[in-house]
Formats: sequence, C-alpha cells, structure tokens
Amino acid sequence: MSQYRPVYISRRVEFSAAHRYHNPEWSSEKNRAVFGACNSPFGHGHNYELEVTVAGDIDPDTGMVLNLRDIDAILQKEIVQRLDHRHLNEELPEWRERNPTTENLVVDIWNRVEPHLAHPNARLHRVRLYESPTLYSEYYGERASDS
Amino acid sequence: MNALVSTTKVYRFCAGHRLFRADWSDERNWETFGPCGYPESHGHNYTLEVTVRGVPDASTGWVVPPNSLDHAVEEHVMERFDHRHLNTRLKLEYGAVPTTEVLVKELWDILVDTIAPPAKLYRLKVAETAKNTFEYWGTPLGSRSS
Repeated sequence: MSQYRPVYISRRVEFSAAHRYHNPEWSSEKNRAVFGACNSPFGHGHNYELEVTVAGDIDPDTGMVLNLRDIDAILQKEIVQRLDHRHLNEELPEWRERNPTTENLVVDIWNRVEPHLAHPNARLHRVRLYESPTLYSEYYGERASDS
Repeated sequence: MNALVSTTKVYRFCAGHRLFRADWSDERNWETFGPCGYPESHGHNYTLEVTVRGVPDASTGWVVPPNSLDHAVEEHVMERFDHRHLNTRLKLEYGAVPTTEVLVKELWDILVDTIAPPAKLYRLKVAETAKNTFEYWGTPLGSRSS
C-alpha cells in the first residue's frame, strides 16, 4: 500500500434467520442448563445486521477505496441469499453439527467473503455480526498463536 | 492515573454532493457512480464521530473539555460544510470526487491540530447513511494493527 494511512469503509446488510443451540453429545439436562431458552427445539430468530469493513487507499480517479455497491452485491450473493429467512441448523449443512453462534457465524462469513474482496489496494479488515443491537461478534481474520 | 482513554462526541450535519467526473463519458459515470451521479445532486444527513485520546486531566477528569471540541467542530466543520454542497467545499486533493472517503481524510486534516493538547485526535468516523460508514485513524498512535 502507499504511504498514506488507509481509510476504512464499511457496508451493512441485514438478514433474518432462526437458529438453535444444542450439543447432541450432551444430555438434554446439560443442554438446557448451558443453553437455556436458546435450546428450545423449535429454535428462535434474530434480525441480524452484518457490517463488513474494508481497509485501503483511496483511488484518486474515483475518490473511492472500493465501490460500496460492489461490496453490497458480494454480501447479498454470498451471505444474505444464503442465510436470509432460513433456519440455520435445519437448512444449512455447515450448521447441522456446529452451533451457529454469533462467533461461529462471523468466522464463516469472513471465510466466504474474503476471497471476493481481494484487491491490490484494499483488503478485508473486519467482519462484525450483530445478533441483536446489544450483542455482536467481530473478527479480524486472526488466529490464536500456538502455545 | 495514567490510563489512556478515548472519548467520542457525535455531530451531525447535512450536505449535498454529486459523484461524477466531468472528464468522463455519461456511460462511464453511470457505470461507476450510478444514481450517486444524478446531475441534480443529492444529499445526506452525515454523522461525524470525533474520537480524542489521552490521559484524563487530573483536575477535570476530561480528556479534552467537551465544549472546546464543540467549538472546534462548529468553527472548522459546521461553518464550512453544514447545509452546503461538498463538490464546491472540499479541496479534493485525495480523490477527484467528493466521496465520504475523501471527506473523512479532509476532515482529519482540518481537525487534527485543533485538539487541545496533550490529548490527540485519534479517529474520525463519518456515516453517510446507516449502512455506509467510513473511518480514519490518521496518525501512528491511532493506527490499527493489521
């Protein structure tokens, strides 16, 4: 990148989805104790908000880092169309055997979106997923170092 | 106490702009900027978050006196941009088009030296809409690790 500090641009999209927290290796008592109401067999829903942040240099010709319209199109195609109005555990193979917590979802979203945002002068910086207005997880693509 | 604390104040202003290049064809402008290039222009209710960072003053407890920040933003941002047309008010030195990327960097240049020391300007965040936001950490103190 150039000598300039990057500008961080963010786009938000929304989707609504149902999920359930359950570990099939545990007894129903333990599931209930750990996950509480989130263990209800019918699931429950959220209006998720997904915010994706890209860092990069301003293209002097357009004034833009990347075109937010293009970022929106990627998010709609890769994420919203896949998850919106779905029951995540019931309908998506990646969530049959793993809890679609906000933490697990945000990493999965990063992995789906990041290849589409590779650009000489910009990179995916952060994915933030709001399960509700008061609870979100964010991921910067980092891995815990080996101990 | 020498804890380093960030404090953010949120300001709002309304401004118009048009994203287009006079030296491009209509087709190229439409392909790049879409409705953001309509010739009549359009506008936004911008939100500006100004984050300052420093050790809270021992006698006041503030990183900076809030009204000193208000005066700086009023004089240097509101007077210049509120209810104005950005195409005529921005220097456009970081990009040829008055996007919010260009706006946030110019706002940094305008505000960085107006913060009462020893605190420093740490981050600016401009929301063009609820879905489009732009952040800038302009100095090494404020750089995010990648």
